[in-house]
Amino acid sequence: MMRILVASLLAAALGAQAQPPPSGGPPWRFVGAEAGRSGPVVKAAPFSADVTTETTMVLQDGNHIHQIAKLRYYRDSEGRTRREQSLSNLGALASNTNLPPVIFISDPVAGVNYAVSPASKTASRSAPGGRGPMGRGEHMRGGPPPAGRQLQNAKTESLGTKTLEGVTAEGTRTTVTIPAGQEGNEQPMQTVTENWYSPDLQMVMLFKRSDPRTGETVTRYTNIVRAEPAHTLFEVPADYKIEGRSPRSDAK
Amino acid sequence: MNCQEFWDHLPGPGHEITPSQSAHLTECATCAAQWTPHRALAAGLHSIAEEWRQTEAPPRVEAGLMASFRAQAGYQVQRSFARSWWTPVVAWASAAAATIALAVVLVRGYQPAPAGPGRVAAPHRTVLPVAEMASAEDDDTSALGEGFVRLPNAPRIESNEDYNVVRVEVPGSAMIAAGISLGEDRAAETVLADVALAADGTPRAVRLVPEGGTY
Repeated sequence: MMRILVASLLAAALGAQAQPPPSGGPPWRFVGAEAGRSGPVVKAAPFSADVTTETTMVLQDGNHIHQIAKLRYYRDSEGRTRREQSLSNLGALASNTNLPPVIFISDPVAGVNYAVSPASKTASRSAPGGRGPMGRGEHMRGGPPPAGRQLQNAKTESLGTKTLEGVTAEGTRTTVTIPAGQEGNEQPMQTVTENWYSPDLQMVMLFKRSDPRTGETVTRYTNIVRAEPAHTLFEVPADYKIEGRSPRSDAK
Repeated sequence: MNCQEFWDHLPGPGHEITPSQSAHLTECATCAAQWTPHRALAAGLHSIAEEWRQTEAPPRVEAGLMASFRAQAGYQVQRSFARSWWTPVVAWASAAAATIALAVVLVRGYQPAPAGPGRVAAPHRTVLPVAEMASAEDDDTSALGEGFVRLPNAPRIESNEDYNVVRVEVPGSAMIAAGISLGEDRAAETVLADVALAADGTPRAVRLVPEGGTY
């Protein structure tokens, strides 16, 4: 009797093990994170803000793709940054993943970056990479072209200044024409990029791009708080397990 | 509470789930569907482990366990030890422990696997060559590192743009839809992928992590 019961339960367990994930829920799982390249250090311009990026694309059959990515951004007077990143939307991979959020901390003072997972109370430590002069401070995406990279058939015009979320910003619009045939296109194509740059925060506060290949993209900073964020936001909590060697100890 | 947090913090045998976990079950049909068989299976295996504590092993099982124990420990057990009265107790304690371990493995394997500290930390040290990424030529996805492919309709990560990388388990079908060459026979599998996130939080590129995570 006992053997039959054991065999039945083990068989049930093994059967359950072999079952595919139930339908209705995507089998996504967060495994880890790594802080990558950090932008230039911007000091003496502390603030925090919500960053929202909306992408809209109209397909040939009239269907629409609309995606939103959100994060909370912090920067202190020493140039440390923190990004609280939602992973609920991973673009073309999935628009609703149920993945837990992850936090990326860049600390140029200590010379270290962290990717922090609050769900598992762990953090990955790495040396900052790719930091270097970039001209006009941090860019969210696709801002002015990097130095030395010439855009052909580009026209840039000033849009003047305006106040965004209580911050003065200077606007520029760049229109790039892609000639017919350059990418196999029958007719010329135009991409239009609009940047609203804050000299005070050294940050592009509003970014708009219209590209026939990738649709419309708008990134904006909202709920801006121009105050020094708490220092603890740029530290890994004491009860978190930290993986990875300290860059400072490597230098010794 | 999300699904991962729910499965990460399940109570031990004989303990009830917390109110927040109960609330998650009412909100998430997927976890609720998994929870009922999970609980039944765990209770069944737990009860077997309890019953076996009162059950005496056949002599051949005891002999086999002791032989295996000696072989693994790498030394000979003295005759007086082998014949002591509590030898069966040791043998059956080992058997019970093995049963419980098997039960835990099977039950844990049935649920969505949690991202414990070990699971999170392991790839960080070996897989994501940040320095290599940073020094690579800023030519589309090559700036990110080996194997990255730009996601459909996603803008490139500019040479002056920040990025970070997350590693996730994804359905193979999602990778195929994103343009990763995976093989249609792997569409139903779950695979490891690195996703590059730009400074604005949008995913821009993805790469398949080979089995063993050797990036």
